[in-house]
Amino acid sequence: MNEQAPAVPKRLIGRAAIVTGAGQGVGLGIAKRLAAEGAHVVIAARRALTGEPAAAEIRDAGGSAVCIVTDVTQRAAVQACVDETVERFGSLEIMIHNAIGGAASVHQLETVEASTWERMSRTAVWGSFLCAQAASPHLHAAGTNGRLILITSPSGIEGSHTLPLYSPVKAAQRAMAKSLAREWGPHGITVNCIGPVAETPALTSAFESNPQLRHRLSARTPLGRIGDPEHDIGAAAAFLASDDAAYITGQTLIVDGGHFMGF
Amino acid sequence: MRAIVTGTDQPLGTAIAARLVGAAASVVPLTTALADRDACATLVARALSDLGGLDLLVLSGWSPTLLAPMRFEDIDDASFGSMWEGGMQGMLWTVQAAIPALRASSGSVVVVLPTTGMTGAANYAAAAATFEGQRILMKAAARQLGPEGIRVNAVAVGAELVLDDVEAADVHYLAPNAILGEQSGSDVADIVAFLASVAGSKLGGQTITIDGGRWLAP
Repeated sequence: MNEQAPAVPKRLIGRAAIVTGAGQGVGLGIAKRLAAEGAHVVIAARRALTGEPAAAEIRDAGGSAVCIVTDVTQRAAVQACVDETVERFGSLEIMIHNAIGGAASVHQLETVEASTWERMSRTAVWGSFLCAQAASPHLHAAGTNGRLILITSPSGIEGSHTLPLYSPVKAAQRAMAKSLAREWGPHGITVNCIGPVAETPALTSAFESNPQLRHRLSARTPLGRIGDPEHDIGAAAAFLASDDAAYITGQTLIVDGGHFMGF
Repeated sequence: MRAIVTGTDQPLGTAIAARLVGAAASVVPLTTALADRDACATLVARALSDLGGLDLLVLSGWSPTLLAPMRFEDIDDASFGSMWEGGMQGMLWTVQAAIPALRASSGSVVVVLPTTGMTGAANYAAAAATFEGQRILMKAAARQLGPEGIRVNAVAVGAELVLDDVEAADVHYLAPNAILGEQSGSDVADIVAFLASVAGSKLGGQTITIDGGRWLAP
């Protein structure tokens, strides 16, 4: 877009948010946008190597951010991240689980090893379970400001022939979100999913190894471009996290330029 | 027809096995929900050797932990592991072990599960995640194995046929059912038999919902 970017609203002032996998890509884009809207953001990254610069970048832009090194597959680590967040900022209103491991490698059902399953299951599904459980008391305390957002994928709806084990872990997140939307709804907490397509390091490296992919993906996307982690995906996450989305729960918002229209 | 049916210790699996036997199939019942690749491979290999091949794999068995309601905050790691890993890996490794035999026969797989994964359900978050994981693994398997002649489909049944406490799930429908009457295990078995038959040979990656006509999405 060549026009001047519209002013970012300030819908999240004073709210605390944890974003997992926020050292890069979609997670970083979400973290930047939440901070721009006034939230205190915790970059829950597996490695300080990516997490610390991400937090510093947000602080340099005038936002409030810290990095807490967190392995989302470990209950104690997730709990410690939540505890430290609440200690530092006094509350936790927004939990966004975006981290995923091992999703990029193409595999065959006939030969796939347990380790491939393990990586995706532990990060995407156990990670959702552990993040949601650790955040639960604080989201309940936040009441109608409480938000759980899980990052999923259209693959979790229609099934992927190249990444068959990626599909069920993304599907499981949607069903968990719907279930928690029902279970926590009476307290005003909303639980939703976002299915993004965005320019991320993972996608960039896929484009490098397969130069046709960018063109193919763009050509099959009605809006004709690949999404921006901050301005497209982050904006959707900030909307769902804000009061503007207080009446939206149990939903999956696909933010992919119109590539998937399966609903 | 040579078939493996899991969950024959539960009413639905029993009804499906009986329906297939009635249609002159050889059926080997299998107790699964094993989250162990080698154990699943061993069980499937034994069944294949008893049957002399495989035309149909029906996955219709669930761990009892999936069927009992549990408040989300009360699910501990052991329970979550038994539900999610047991359900997913039980399916994954059973299907994996059966692929060569199914390829040889241009056979098919039918996954039977409750509508709970599609609807989501209070007090059944881990179960819903597992059932939807299984249903979308079915779609991915259909896409990957379909071009080799193996068809993979699902039958989604009314949750009251599966869950211990369907009231606790807090799923409500305002509109009337789209068909008259309720469905039984033998009705489900008829759909499974249809999917495995020549009449179903153009269906892959599909979910046929037999729940009295309540869940009509999308």
